[in-house]
Amino acid sequence: MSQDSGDDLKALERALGALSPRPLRLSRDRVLFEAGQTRMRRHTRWWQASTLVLGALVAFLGWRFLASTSGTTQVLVPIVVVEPVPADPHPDAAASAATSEPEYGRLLPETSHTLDRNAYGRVMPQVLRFGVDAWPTGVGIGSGFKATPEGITSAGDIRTDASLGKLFRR
Amino acid sequence: MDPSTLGQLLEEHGPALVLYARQWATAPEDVVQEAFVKLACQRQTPVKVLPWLYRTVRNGAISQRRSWTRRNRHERAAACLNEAWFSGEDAATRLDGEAAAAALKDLSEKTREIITLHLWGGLTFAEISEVVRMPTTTAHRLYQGGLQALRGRLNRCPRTPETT
Repeated sequence: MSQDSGDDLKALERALGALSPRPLRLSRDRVLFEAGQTRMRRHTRWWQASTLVLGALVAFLGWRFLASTSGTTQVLVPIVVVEPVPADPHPDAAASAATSEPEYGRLLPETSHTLDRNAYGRVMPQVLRFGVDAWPTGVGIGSGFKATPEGITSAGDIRTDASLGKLFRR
Repeated sequence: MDPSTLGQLLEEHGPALVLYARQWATAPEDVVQEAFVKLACQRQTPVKVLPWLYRTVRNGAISQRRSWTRRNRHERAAACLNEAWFSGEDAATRLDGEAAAAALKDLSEKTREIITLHLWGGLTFAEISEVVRMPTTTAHRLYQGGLQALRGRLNRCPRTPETT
């Protein structure tokens, strides 16, 4: 039974295999032409792609080169010019005036940064009330007071000094 | 690959390749032509040219079926019905080509594919297993089952008596 079945299948196989598929409607020359054309097109496309990439690379590098040489960036460097102080035309006269005639302002507390404000506040009402006698000696009252004229160390010295009259006359 | 070998391959295996592609594609000749163009563009000729060709035709035909399904399902069905699979009637066995094609269409897609590859493509079961990506034993089992199903279908369809 199985032998018959096998024979039947073999016969059917032979019969089916003997059937020929429909003939090809493709032209052999057309297929070969298409194959050659496609092959050449791919070859050309590779060259086109490589040319495009290289062209883009050259353009990019050129742009970078131009950008680096055009000086578009500005660097501002601050320059400080120190002008020399004009020389005093009469240096001797100024020097003699500074040494021979002390200014009244130089007897006063010089500036606020050299003055102890508490000391100044204590001394100033005394001076205004009792006069120059209440002027401190300059040492030990406050660090902000200086008896700058040489040789004058106390208020009494200032009063009795011959230069006092000269000082107040001015 | 040189043009003469390509032409020889086309003449020998073109009809079977078209028959194989016809299972999926509505324009099987186009699929076969694309496969030959791809073969010509290969830098190195495949070691097994015939399985490579069938594999390429299979992929192209399935791809074409997908695109055609998206476009118009009805047109595709009408085109498939109108196309004849075989050239006619075999004189020796008196097997009708249209009946055989109808019986083949009733089979499952995988079985039909294996029978087509073996009977008309001339591929061995080892080569068929490469094309359809399945074990050789499975391919052989499907082939035997398909033949039995074909025998049953062809016996059920009585042939018209010859008028001599």
